[in-house]
Amino acid sequence: MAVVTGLLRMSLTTILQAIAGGLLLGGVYALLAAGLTLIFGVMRVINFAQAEFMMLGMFAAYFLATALNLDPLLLTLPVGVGVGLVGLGVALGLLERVPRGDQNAQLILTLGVSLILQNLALVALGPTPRVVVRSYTNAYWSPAGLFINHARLYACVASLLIMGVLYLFLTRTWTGRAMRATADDPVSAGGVGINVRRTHVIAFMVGSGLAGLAGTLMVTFIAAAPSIGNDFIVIIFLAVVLGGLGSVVGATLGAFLVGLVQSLSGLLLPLQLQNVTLFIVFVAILLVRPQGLFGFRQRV
Amino acid sequence: MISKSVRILAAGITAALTTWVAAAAAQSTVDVGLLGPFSGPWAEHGKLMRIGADMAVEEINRQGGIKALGGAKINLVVADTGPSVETATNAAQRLLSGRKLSAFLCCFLSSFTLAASEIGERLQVPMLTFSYSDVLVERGYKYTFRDSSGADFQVRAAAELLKREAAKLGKTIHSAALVGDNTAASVAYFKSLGEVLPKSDVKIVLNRVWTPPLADAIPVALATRDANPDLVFLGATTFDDSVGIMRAFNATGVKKLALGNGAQFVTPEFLDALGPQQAEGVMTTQGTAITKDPYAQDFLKRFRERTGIRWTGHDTTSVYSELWILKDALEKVGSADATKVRDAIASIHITTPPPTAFNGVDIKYDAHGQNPGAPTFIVQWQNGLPVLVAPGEFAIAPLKWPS
Repeated sequence: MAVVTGLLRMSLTTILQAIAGGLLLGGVYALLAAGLTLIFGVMRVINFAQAEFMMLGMFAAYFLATALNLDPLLLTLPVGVGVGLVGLGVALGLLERVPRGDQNAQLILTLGVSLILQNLALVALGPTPRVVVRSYTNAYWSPAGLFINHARLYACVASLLIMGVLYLFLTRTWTGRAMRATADDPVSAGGVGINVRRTHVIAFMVGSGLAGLAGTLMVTFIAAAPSIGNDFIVIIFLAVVLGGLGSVVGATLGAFLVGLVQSLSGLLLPLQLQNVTLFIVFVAILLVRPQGLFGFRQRV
Repeated sequence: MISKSVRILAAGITAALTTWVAAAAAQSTVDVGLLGPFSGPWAEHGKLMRIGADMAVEEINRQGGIKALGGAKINLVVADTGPSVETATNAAQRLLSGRKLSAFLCCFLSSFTLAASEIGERLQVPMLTFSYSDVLVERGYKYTFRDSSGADFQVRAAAELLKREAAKLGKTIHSAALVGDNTAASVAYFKSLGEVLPKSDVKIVLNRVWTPPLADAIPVALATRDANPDLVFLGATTFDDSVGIMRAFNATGVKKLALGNGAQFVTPEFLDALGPQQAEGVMTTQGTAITKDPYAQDFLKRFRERTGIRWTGHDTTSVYSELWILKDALEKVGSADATKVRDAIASIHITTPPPTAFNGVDIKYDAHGQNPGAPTFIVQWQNGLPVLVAPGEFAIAPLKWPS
């Protein structure tokens, strides 16, 4: 009741601004969450290094954009592929060497990869925040009294397009179907001729590549820094679990929900309680639906 | 028999020589700790602190080290606080219990400094700091020394100064907005503002505090615009939040006098992210600053040559100055023993550069470990450079009012 009363007291513009802000945030979270849930769905690996792959994408975009004087948006695909190849190396060189099914070892391993990447970046690149400023970085679109940052808007739109491509990849290509089959039942998938190991490795590559794509899209409005992943990792996990662990569609919707809750809660409660509100909503939803809001039997 | 006596004598001389050589070797260096955020969200500030420390140590050692200790060189022992109070506490514990330090410098973020100061007090190692939180010098600690002004003093001085400047321009300041995060420094800053501003007839019309990182700065900027304050006090401590809030202010047309409370508002990256136009007029308070003193101007020249960076703030100048203060104390006491160094710092009185070029003209510590004569410095972005605009006696340029 208090929530409704509070909302009624506000102007429509204020509420619309909060919704727009939440959707823009969610768009960025979605790419990161989709990659994380894809890796979990197929490999059953909780990848704590996901946000560090995003950080790698941010730095790669920064250096390429600065050296070649290119727009980071044009670098999205090459940087995504590059970070995906780093992910491929991690999967082949480390994750596949851990006994399959030993989730504790895999979890600690990805946590280790996260710390190594973060500290290597710190040693090699230093702590200085790196910003890529383009004409749209500080520009705002103002429809009906709202303020929409161009850089965030482009990132959100690009994220949705990439999510669409990911959906087509998972549903229309043989490799994508193999991933979904492996996610459902790896034993049966192997029985029908799917190379499960190869599928695992591809899933990790695609998942980490998505984080690299997200980093490229974000570097025009958030500075690249070695520890930037710490600001995102908990939020991404929240989105993934909220949406339903293992479901790409669920993670995407979960990401938008997280963005909206963060943004709208700021209207009614002190900003300091933004993330507290998020966790309260999270716990409340899991009490009612332990499998997450959009947790389906089919995991990918 | 003679042979035996000679042997005993030789053994005695050898033992005495060994002791003397060992003592001389032990005093060939003086270990001083530097505890700062060299990783995590505040790592940029740690980097700038390290530059200041390295410059001071190199200069002191090049000039003959600590003469009262036979030319002992200062050996900087660096430790990383990491990103949280927990990691900072662990780092302080390791640094202070791992080896015998004469003193340590700490830590940029007040929350970290508060944690480290407790360990310094327990282990009786003096700490020099420029952190803002006034709690640091309100607990009766004997081993905590702050050479620069704290949150409360900065607030009082800044508010009064800005009111004076406003009057000169025929303007008045009747209302203010408090916008920032909930780290210890900002909380202390806002607490002081909450007490000081009403007494100065300035009404607080908005108080927006968040837990960093700030997800979206636009709602905060819109609330500020709606509140229409004459002056905005900014307490964002991370780079992205500091930049984000200024971007949002510019987008929503919040063209107000804005005063931040830390070096994060005057870093080169801040300018890179916003550009000179959006950064123009933004001010920040600093505990120490590059004043018009010739020594400070020469320091800036050497800093530029060394780093290729065009300017720096109190992260660098405070640590640089603290090492010179410490040198003075070491020369005075002639011992590297932490307890004796503490007593020397407590009774110090410096009236000449290098420290006075950055900390005000009179440096000494009161019973609480505070330097009571430390001024509040206000630095303002003008044409793409942060320049000292207040207090007038130290200023390089006059204050500009936002238009």
